[in-house]
Amino acid sequence: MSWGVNWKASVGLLGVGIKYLAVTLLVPLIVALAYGEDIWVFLVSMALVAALGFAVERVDPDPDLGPREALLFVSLAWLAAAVIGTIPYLIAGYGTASTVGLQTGSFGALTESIVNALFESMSGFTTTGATVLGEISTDRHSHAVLMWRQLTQWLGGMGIIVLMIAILPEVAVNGAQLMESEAPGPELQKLTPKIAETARALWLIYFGFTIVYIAILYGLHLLGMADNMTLYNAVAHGFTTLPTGGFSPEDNSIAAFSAVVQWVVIPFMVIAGVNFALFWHVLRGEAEVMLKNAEFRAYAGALAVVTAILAVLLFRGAAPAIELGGTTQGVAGNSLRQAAFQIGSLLNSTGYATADFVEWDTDAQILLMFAMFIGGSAGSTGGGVKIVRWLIVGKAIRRELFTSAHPDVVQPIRLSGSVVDEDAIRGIMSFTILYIVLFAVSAVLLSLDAARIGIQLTMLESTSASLATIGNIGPGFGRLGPFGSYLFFPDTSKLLMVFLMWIGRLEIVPVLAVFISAVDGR
Amino acid sequence: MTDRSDGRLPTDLEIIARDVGSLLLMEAGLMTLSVAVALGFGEYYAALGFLISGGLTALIGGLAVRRFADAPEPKTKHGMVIAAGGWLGVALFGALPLFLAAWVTPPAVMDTFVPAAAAAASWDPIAVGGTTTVSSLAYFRDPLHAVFESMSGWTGSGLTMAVHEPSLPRAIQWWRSFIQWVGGVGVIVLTVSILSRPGSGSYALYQSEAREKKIHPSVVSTVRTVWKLVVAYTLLAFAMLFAAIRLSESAYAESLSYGETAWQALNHAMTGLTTGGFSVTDNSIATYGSPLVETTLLPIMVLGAIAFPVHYVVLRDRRFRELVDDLQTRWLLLLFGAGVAVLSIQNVASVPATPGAFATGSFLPVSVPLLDGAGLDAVRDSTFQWISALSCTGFQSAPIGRWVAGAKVLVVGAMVLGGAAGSTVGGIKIVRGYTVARGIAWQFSRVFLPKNAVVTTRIGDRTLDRATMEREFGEAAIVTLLWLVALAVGSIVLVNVAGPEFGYADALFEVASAQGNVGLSSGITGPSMSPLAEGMFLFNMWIGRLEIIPVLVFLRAGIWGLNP
Repeated sequence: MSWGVNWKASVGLLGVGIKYLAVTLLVPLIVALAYGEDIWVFLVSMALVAALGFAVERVDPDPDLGPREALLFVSLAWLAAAVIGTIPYLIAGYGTASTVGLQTGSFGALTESIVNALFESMSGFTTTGATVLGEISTDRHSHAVLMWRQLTQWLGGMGIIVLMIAILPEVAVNGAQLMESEAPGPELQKLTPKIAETARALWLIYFGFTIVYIAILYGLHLLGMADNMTLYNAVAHGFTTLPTGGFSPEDNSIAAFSAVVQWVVIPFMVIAGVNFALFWHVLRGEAEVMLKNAEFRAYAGALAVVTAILAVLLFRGAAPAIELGGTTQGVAGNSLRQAAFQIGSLLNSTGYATADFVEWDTDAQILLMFAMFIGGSAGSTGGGVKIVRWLIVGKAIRRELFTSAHPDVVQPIRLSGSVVDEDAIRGIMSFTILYIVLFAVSAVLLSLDAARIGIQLTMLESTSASLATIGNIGPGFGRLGPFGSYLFFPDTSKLLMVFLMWIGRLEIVPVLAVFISAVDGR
Repeated sequence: MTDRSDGRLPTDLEIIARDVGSLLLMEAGLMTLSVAVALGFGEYYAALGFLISGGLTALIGGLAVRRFADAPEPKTKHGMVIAAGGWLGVALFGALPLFLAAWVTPPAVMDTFVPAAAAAASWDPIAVGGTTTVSSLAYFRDPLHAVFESMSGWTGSGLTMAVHEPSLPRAIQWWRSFIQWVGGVGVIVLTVSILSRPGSGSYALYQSEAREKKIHPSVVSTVRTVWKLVVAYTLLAFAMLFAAIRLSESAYAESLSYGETAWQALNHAMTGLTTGGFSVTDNSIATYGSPLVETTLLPIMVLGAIAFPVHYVVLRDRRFRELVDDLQTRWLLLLFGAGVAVLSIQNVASVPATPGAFATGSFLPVSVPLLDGAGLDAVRDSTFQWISALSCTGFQSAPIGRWVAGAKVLVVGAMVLGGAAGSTVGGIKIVRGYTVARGIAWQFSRVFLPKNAVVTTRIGDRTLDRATMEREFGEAAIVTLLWLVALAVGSIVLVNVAGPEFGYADALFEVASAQGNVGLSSGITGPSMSPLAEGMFLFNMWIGRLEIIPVLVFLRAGIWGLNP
């Protein structure tokens, strides 16, 4: 069975990655040590993962990747990460009431617990932030497991492949092809001639921002301005802000923290939605590259406009009076903070919340849903359709209007001063339509599947579930709100959403291309 | 606006005004013809309405034509603006007979149009000039309702403000059917000779048919080819429907006189064939409660959804293989079959969850395995409604508002896609859907090939090179995207202004129906709907009919002019 692709090479290389994933389990292990929690959970997990890695590596000890193998590898890597990420959840939760812990009471309970763990893990690695944990507190789950949950988002944020290219020479050989498949956005910007250096530069910037951010959060705590922003919480949120993740070990997300903390989180969420390559230019003293970048300008503009509209709506009373974090009606400061936070969180797909926006008026909710459709920038850690795609779609529409009246005129499309390749434009059109179709079809499937077991989803719930998972956003509306959970969905729906998060993170192309080439069998 | 000539209007504007004016002159002719219909039925007030409308329309149209008679021939760049402006102008003036007839007819006379049926007692009375009437004619005293009805007619949509059609004067019933019929011919002309520009799929498919570089000769030759076909099909449909209604055993059908039967058969033949969907009966086709009438309408709606160039080839050359060879027709027939099956399964499965949506008694004399009475009714309704939706006709035989959301969304899918370009259907059209799908598949098949590899793709029996593919895909993708965006925005607006009893699925359904020029309704559309939603539907129907881009070109030209 060849399927026209040398799958052994892809799987063999996968083993290398899995092996190194075992090392990351050291982080929760240390947390467990610090809090005096069970450390055997992570020791066993590490042993299992490492053994699996060595075993899988044996499939092809000297992998040689062509373009197809590279795509297959990228697709599989994310799936494998999600599967491996379930191990700590399943083991730690065994015999407890945890919804993601292994349950062996009945076959139904067993499959449900495994599906839940897979959902949580995929939601982590793809930086979605949708959760099936139910009750999120350190009473129910250990500090260490919750930290693992945060860490998966940090690992997934800049891209597990980019990380592998940066540190593993075996992977760096095919780096360009791999990075192209994983990078969010239509085009990969090579910063340096060597792809491994580009990958390293991106991860360093990402790492640097994370450190600075954690230091500021913890600094606030030390200054007495944020009581509950302990070192644990500072690190935990440090792991999920820059990757636009959205997981929080607090049940009330960022609403659990003071207004000062919320104001600090906002700029870092905004940063996470910017193309990280632009920061590289800024660090080299070329700030004008960033300021002249069309996508960056559009991103900043979109944030400003949508935030302003939402702030006005909140000021005029779009939120109920007893609002978590302060009443907004008539209070300019609170309105602005709540608007900036929610938009900063949803527009670039983070998914934190400082208010239960499912209680807001419909027009405010629709504005939020609109923001969810925009997405972050290409080359950022954000999900969604991506701003640059909307820019190019808009320009293509304008050109179509022009050329339909003047068929003989040839007009190239320019972005930030340079001509966009027609191939790329067609790719963006394909992507956008496919994204919308997948989103719509999945929304219908989710609502049919829920009805199958007697749950009636509202249209807002089914569409937001589909949008929040394919766009790697996290919270939706109705029962899926920022303080709600995806727990009540049937297993089949959860698997569908796992699939959506997976292809959403990889932006559809690698996954579908692998499927299609398998079917074609060429 | 560079080409000004001695202080007069810019040449572009003159050309457009002249051509829209001549369209209005034609409309005035239709109105004059309808005066005869009104007089024939002894409806003198309606006749007066038509007479004044015809005069006004002729005056405005004639002025424009005369004033700008020496403007040059239109070029490609004018075609779209004329089409978009023409449709808007014709729809606005087409509202005049409805509006004027509603104002000149005294309430007492309106009452005489109301049929004596017992059902009329439960109708809502409408206040007119200090008294009330139950005749739906009174709704058209509101200019917005009149324009809505006219736009719905000229775009072949079929959403209506006349709640109880039998209480309209005959002349008004006639005008509604007549504008759908003429509008249908207009659409064929539009797609075959104006919208089909290089880069759009329908251009490539039907290039050989009656196409010339200049707009006027092309339009004229298309009309010449098409009108005979349409008249012949309409007569055929009329005969079939007449026989079907006479042979039906339902109480309603048996209560009809020969004259009434002929009248209904004529109107429904006109609106069914051009996939318009206005009816003269109170509950659309559900009024008949007759499986026979529904079955008879199926082939009529299917005929209307097949591209006219294909009809032409089939009839002229007796080449019935063309129905399978033509890409769009093949897919259309496939989708009819597949959709009926899927929708039937969905509806049969949801019978227990939707009390009141399906009749319980079996309509067949023999029993069918696996299906009880309600299941059979679900299959019957699904069949009719799917074909009505995909062909964008909008005849309704079932209370779709009571169906489950899943079934509504399936029907939305049919209304969004629509039938074949080159016929009278709305929606995105099969050729576009196919081009987009091929383009995306092409995109994936190229992932593994070197960037400069020569790749060709096949659409139907044409082999496209890269540049052509790029153009056609670009056009199809952009129309599809704009269509979906307009649908999403429209449904979000509607769900906010519609009553709390309507869910998001209903709003999506209604906007898809308006924008797809279908005319099925989940119950939102009616004289009591919010004026904002009603105005939005006008826009949805307009852009849907013109496939969006011409309207945008029209608006763009309105702001920046036609010259780059």
